[in-house]
Amino acid sequence: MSSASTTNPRLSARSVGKAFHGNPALIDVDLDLHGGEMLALVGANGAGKSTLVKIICGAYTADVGAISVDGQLVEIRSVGDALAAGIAVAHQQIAVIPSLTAAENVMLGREPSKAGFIRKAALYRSAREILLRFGIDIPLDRDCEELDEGENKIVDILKALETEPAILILDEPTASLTLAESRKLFAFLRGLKAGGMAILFISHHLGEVFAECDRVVVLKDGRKVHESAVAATTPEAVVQAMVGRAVADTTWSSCIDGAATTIVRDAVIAGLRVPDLTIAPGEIVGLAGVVGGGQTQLVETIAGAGAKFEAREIVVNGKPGCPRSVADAIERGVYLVAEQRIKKALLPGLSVSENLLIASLRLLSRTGFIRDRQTTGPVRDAISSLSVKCGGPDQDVLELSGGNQQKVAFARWMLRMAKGDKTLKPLLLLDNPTEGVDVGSKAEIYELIQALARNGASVLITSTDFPELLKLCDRIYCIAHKTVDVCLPRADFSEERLLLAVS
Amino acid sequence: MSTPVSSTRRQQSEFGSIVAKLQSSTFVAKYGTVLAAVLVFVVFSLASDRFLSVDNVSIVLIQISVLMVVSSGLTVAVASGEFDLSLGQVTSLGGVLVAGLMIWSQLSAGMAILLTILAGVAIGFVNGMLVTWLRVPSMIATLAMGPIALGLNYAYTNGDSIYARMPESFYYISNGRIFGFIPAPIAIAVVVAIVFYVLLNKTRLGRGIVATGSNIQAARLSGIKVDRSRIIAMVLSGLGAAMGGIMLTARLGSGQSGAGDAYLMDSMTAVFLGMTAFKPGRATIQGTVVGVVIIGMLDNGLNLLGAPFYLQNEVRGIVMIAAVSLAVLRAEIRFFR
Repeated sequence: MSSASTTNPRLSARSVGKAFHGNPALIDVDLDLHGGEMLALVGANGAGKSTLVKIICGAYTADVGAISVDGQLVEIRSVGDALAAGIAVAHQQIAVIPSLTAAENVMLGREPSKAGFIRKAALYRSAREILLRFGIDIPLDRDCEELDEGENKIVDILKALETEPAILILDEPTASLTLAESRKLFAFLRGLKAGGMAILFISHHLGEVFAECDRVVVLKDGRKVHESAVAATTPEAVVQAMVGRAVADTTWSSCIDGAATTIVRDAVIAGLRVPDLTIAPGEIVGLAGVVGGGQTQLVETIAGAGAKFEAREIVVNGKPGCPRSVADAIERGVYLVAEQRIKKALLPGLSVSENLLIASLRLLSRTGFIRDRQTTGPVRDAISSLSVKCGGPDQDVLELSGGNQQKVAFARWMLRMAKGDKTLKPLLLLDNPTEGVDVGSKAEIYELIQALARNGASVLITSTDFPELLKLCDRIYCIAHKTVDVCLPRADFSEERLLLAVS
Repeated sequence: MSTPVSSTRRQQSEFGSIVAKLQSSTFVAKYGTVLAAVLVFVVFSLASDRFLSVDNVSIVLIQISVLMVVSSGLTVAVASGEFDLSLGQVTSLGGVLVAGLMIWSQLSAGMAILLTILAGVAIGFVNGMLVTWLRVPSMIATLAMGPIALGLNYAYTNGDSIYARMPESFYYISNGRIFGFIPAPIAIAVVVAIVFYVLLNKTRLGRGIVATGSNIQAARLSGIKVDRSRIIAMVLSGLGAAMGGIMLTARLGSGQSGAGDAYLMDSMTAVFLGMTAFKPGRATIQGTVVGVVIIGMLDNGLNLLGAPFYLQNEVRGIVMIAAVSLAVLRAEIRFFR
């Protein structure tokens, strides 16, 4: 960072502010981004990171404030204006077309052509030149659906570089990548940086911020609360700035209580072989694998929502046989917090209350009629027990921040447990439960999971965030080569071993 | 090492004014359609001295009663995330069936009504099975069911209208007065709307239907029997159409093969208009009521003002486009994802 601060910034934002529906999302934010530096922008969900990025790239216009590029004041009113000013964005969602090859994706929209026909050889030559220029190696002739997520992300960024920007914004580029894939991506980004690119890097992973970035800016509740060189601060200080308080690192203790009540032996579930998987009451079992490794199909099958499968032996929460339906699984006390909450867990457009009640309607309305008298209490309890921050039970669930949305997905089952048979020890299936969740809410969710285990719940948790598994679990099963293979006991835990086992 | 940042008072007050502006726009988002209805009402009241007369208001309410019944059923289908494009033809079929059963088969009014409603339910059930078992998107399944219902209609009537005296009790549906002064069709529409409102908002079944329409995957993973929800929603849509057909025949005094066809377009428009009101993006009975009232006032008002007959069609199309585009522009209709 030493040289960066002495030069003039490439991008500079001054007193930027923006409000939505009366809620200020960004208040008086200053930001400087220099050529040849990677600036990390971090903050809890709802801190204003996305809003700031969208203002810089023209998706939103700021209510107040000014943005200049290379000292020149620029008026950014549209995405086109931002591109013209030399600002390019790679969004969190990877926007490659899976059925096209890597080269075709890199050259998408600027294919060399003659009389309207694409000149394939020239296309591949140009794509190869681009790869060579950035010093990376990707199989250009393979379809993108055959490439791993990390390679797709690089293809995606290469597309963003098409306009030859001086400023590159990366919105959570590593969100869906494994560590190995992330490392490859960072090697690529280091190359870009060395070439003088100014990179604004948004991330939830402080590990990579401290390993790869030069400076870090922390937003909280729409304000800039912390800015420093990475070398001059610590992850603890950054987290404290993000959440506004010190986050206690929870101490781990095992709560295993009795023999396994969930057993899967010699099963093949959606192409994933499961030789031996057991979970005991009070035990927190991790399932580590790459994104799309089949862990989602496994947990959804146990939750009664999977396709047909074969198994020599299967016991789910004390009862032999796989649940035939989700309703059947719920009766057994098997509760799934699905991955990708917006797609699979939440009911968008419906209120917080409706989202919380949806799994407990049978318990709360025996006659078939839903009466406010019977539902307001449980809803209030669920909201307060997980301290869900919302404007009230009638607020649209999509208006909550990511962390609070995830709490609603959890609280739905807390409400069910509170109203259901208390002697039934639940089996919780948590599919990547902290995806896109801020550090503060993450800590609360960890505490919740541990509290549930202490009360005798069996927990199966999948995550792409390995430190999270290492922190929470009694044992971790590793998925490699389409098999739930190695099982690491806590004594053998280390990130390196986990990485080796899943790759 | 850290740089705390504070904001100035000037900025705070600017945010204050933005807050006020946005709050008022949330109000517009919720009640804009209601305001539009009021506007239409005021404009026609000023433009025509007959519009507000007791007779005319009564005529409008009677005219929209069939649409309200048909649209109530469609609202449930749309709330479950499905279309029902067979609606118009099912309404027509219901209309000729009830007439034929009374006139040709000499059944009592009650029996004819019951069998006609069962026929509507059966078609809705088939629609539901096509959508869930055969996985045909409802847009296609019900589009195909339309001509099938029309074919049944022609097979039954030979394409002719069914003219003859029907049992006197049947006409009570159109001419009767509840408590001696409330026209029966209005009472039926109000009761149907209330029943469907309670169903969608206050029952487990309705909540399951709404959850299915909001996010079918999440609903399924929460233990909702989503296929059952969708089938029941399609059944209720068929039920509404059949009831509408019966009311229509009672009003017209004869079973006419194509009498109900126009109700597809009108009820779709009513539901889409409704999706821009109260709970933006959601199909609700209360919203549909507003939509139905707007359509009824437009039809009647344009008539009173002596507008050429084709203008009503133009207005219908424009209102539908306006309703959907308003909702989509505000990113509120999740239905069209």
